[in-house]
Amino acid sequence: MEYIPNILGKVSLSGKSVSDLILFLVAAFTAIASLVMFFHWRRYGMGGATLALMEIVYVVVAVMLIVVAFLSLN
Amino acid sequence: MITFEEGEQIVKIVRRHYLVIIPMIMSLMFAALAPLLFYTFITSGFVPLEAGAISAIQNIFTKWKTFGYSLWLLLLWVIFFIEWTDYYLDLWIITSKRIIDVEQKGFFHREITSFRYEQIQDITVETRGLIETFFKFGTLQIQTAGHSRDIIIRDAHYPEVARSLILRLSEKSKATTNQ
Repeated sequence: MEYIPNILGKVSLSGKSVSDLILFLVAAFTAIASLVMFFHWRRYGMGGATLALMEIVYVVVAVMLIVVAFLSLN
Repeated sequence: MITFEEGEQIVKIVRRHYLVIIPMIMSLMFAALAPLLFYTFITSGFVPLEAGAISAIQNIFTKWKTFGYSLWLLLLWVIFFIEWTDYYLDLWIITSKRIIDVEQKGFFHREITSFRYEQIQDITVETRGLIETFFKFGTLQIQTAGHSRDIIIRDAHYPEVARSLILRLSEKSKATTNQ
């Protein structure tokens, strides 16, 4: 297994661990941003079909990209 | 949350013209293509790099391309929607009793101002340049009594239509008040 140089002197991380961490951070950022956006849309968006459609498109694509990234690791 | 008064009806919602988000969409599309362009540029031989460096870059791309590119696209996708939210929720709601100016200044910064038609003193429409004239959008500015600053909506779609509507509702409101 390929290892990243041990710059901390104590911790040794594999490429897989780093990519897992990056995936987790990006997914967490996406989830938080999505929650804030949906909150805004529902509270100030005045309803309507546009927002409902955008919500579906947004979620489908975001989930698809996360799944692709996750599957590419395994 | 915007609460409406009893009997108050939404007459029109004025938004910024869709053309104002085109530059943002173009830059995101460029950002989406940037890694592919970078890879093509590096491996094409235009840049005088050592064979070892090129092979290292090719190695990284081969190993991580799907993972890295999908996360890159995901970030751009979220950024696009954050910008779109800013665009879409920046609006004016013209109701039968007042005008509500909802200004989204950032992800966590909003300003909601409302004023009644009786407060309106003057409405100005400004259309500048070829693009604004051709695509029918411009700046709509309302001077009001009691507000320290003018209410402005930039890049409003069909500002003349909104102006006529506001003037009509304003006259109607003043006539009702005088009765």
